[in-house]
Amino acid sequence: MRPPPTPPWVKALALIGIALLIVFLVAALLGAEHGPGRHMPGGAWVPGGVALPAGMT
Amino acid sequence: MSPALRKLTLAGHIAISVGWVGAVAAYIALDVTAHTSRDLQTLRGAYLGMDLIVRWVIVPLAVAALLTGVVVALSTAWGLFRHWWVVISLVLSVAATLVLLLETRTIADLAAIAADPQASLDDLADLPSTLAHSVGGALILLLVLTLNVYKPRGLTPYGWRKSMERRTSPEP
Repeated sequence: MRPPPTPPWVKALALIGIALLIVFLVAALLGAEHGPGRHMPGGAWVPGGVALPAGMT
Repeated sequence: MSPALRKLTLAGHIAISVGWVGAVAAYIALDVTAHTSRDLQTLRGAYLGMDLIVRWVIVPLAVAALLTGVVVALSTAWGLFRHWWVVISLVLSVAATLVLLLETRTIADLAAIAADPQASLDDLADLPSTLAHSVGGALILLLVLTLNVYKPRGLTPYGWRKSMERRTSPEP
């Protein structure tokens, strides 16, 4: 017996995922910065964020 | 795993996962505010709130949802790699969590800028939005939720092989 064919909805989701991945990779290859610090001037980011209010440790 | 413990784990997984979606909805409300407001105090509060919600609610819920989801899958007949809807839910949840962890650092940076008393209204108004990521993340979570509710049919090759083995193995 053969395994059942992959359902169409799985193929559709996989195609969407692959398309998004290709868009992301092409954007990365073209130099678009996409990651921590991409919003910051010069790509610099400051670790740590803000201090928590008193009592939240 | 005993049936009672399995139900408890499932209840925890549902509560945590729905909480994740709710926390993202609260985050989006602040994100929209940060994107649209032109009031300094509102912008400052929105960015600080976004940072706190992400670090103390969304990230812990995301990690807990992932872990409890794996435990629930492995402790039931669904398994982790037997059905396409489980595999896709796992892949989407892992991807959403990884993007979230990367985004957490960016949000911390935005909050640090907003917390600076020297920051002006123009400084905060010029900060780019994280709305695309938060709305995209919410859509991914809703897709996972839909898959988990409808459980569309479809065995993976591994799941099909396992089901064949179960059928052909002699009864104990």
